[in-house]
Amino acid sequence: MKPGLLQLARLAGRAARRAGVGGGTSLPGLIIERSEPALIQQLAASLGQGVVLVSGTNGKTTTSRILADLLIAAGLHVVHNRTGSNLMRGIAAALVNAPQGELGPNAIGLFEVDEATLPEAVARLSPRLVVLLNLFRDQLDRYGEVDAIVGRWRATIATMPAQSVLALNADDPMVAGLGSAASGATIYFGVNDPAAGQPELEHAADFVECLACGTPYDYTVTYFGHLGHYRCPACGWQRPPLDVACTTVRSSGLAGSQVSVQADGATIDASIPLPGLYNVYNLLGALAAVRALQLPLGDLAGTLHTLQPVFGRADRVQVGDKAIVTLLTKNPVGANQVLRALADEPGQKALLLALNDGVADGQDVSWIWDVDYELLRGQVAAVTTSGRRAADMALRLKHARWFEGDSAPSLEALPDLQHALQTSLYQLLPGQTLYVLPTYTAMLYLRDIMTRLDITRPYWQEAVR
Amino acid sequence: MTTLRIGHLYPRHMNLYGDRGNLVCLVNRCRWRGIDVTVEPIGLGDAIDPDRYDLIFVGGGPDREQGRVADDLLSLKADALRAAVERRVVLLAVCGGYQLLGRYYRPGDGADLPGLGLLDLHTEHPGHKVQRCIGNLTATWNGATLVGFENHGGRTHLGPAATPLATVMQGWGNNGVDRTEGATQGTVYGTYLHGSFLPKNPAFTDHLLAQALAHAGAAPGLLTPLDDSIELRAQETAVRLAGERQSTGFLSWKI
Repeated sequence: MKPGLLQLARLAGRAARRAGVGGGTSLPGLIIERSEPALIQQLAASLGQGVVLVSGTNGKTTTSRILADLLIAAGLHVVHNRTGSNLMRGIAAALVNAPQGELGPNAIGLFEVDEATLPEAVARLSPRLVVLLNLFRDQLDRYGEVDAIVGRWRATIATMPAQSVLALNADDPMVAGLGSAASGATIYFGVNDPAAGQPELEHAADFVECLACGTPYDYTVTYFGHLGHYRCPACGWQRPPLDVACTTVRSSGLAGSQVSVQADGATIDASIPLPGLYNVYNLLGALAAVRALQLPLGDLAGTLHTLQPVFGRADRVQVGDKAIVTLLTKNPVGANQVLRALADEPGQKALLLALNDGVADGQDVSWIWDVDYELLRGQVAAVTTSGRRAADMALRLKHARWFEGDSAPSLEALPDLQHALQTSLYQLLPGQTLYVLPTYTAMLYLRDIMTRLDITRPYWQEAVR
Repeated sequence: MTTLRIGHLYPRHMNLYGDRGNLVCLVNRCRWRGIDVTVEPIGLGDAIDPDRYDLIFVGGGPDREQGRVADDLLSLKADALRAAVERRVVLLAVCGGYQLLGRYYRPGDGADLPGLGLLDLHTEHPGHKVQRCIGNLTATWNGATLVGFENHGGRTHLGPAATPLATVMQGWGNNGVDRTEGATQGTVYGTYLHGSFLPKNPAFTDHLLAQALAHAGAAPGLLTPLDDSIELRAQETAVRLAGERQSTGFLSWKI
């Protein structure tokens, strides 16, 4: 090992943070990646409890954060790319930045990994456990099609040794089907509550057919996207039995859900302060990981109770007598889940939808036409669209027929996000909430604006653990 | 009372890039004018009655679906679609659907995939080592502007019977060389534009609707003017952003 280089990288990160350059979160990782990539393997090998990787289109950050809290509650030191910087350099930075005392027998690495980076992360970090959440259509201009990712994941899983464990979402046939490529143990998680389902697959659902024979699946229950209870009518391949099963879900809108989860014959009743069925899956992924690691759950209710929403994931900020709730919407399936949770909230809503077309958003904005904005028709009092594609979003809402009928909301398209935020806030009545639905880069920009306008609360400015 | 009848070909298999927006736009622009409209899905294995529709739409799909959809088109639907087009039913195809209407598709490796031949063109994929045509695309059509996003590996070349739909201003278009985008032949239209295509291009949408309504036997004059201010703002945004990308050297005519 070269301690000199390691110290240099850490110093560079600290200097960058002090200078306010991008938080300095991944700079040390970038330095190590460029100059001494083998150091990453060495650092990872010094984690006595091994490495856990979490990947999937939606829910990586939230699942990792729930899991981190559960691992800490189980008494482990967690080295975690908590800021969501999920390429190799972000993982490298988390390892480099970890205080030296934390890399020891009681330490575990927990890394969320970009879908396209998973093969490299598995090859270099030799994970003890890989949690795979879901695969949805996302940023077609950048990643290529979902099929290509499945193929790469399958090849990667085939290289994993028998002592590595996979935790797979049984309700996503593309993810569950990967179990057949594994030589080690697999743990399946999913939802067994048909009442939480929808009558049919939504428009945003990817077309999924049997891995074994190519026949389209029959669904008896559909939750969201292509997630549900499926079976191949031709060859009989079906959703695997669950090891960690959510048996009841009761939604309280944006306030979260009450769930019952069964694992190892025990039933856990818990309240999760994060909205929507998608967050129930995030919880299940974390619980499946804890079970796969054979750790005690500890005071689960207490741990979940203290969960803080990540910025942009339904966090609420009070601005005088008004409030802002930010809900990241970055792909059709995730956006539909957000709209469903919003539709469960009573009353007419004030909304700000910010659509950007940056590289991190996907430069192709056609995905908004696969989102069911129609779900909120008749429930909107005022709407402002913003971002580089403010007019595209306004046009989408026009075609969702939000502006027809007697109680049609007002519409403003204001590309400048700060202007849009201030205008929307100003027009809000006391006691009302502004729901902001930004794409990824719009969310980052929004956080900057809110910090500048001094309307942020410090809790999302994460304390370094 | 006229009812416009729309057939949506392969809604489950060919819907990759927000193609639903095209249907929503056709339906709304009829409804806003008091014109009744129906949409029927036409899936794999379904036969088509050539007299059942005034307009048929097919979108783009993932590569893996292309072969199966091509088989289904040729074996089950070719004669009916040919008959429908001869009776001036409007056929609009986007991206992957557009390629399937040509004479053949030549993949980077493997055998040629025969197409329907309703458009006199063919498409060749230069292989996965050659850059895909991805980005904002703007073009001129009949003196108006068409905008959208393109994402295709194949390069399309038109024969003499097909007319280029539009002239590329920014972006790749059919092949990145001759500045043509899309093709038209009779009442058949193909384009690489999605984004979605029709919502941001209201004049072109009405051009299609006028022909479809004529097929439905509607009296002229049903297509009353609509307030397209949001549509035109979205179009102006697309033109501005396409220019921005061009100036950063993201796109190039030379392949």
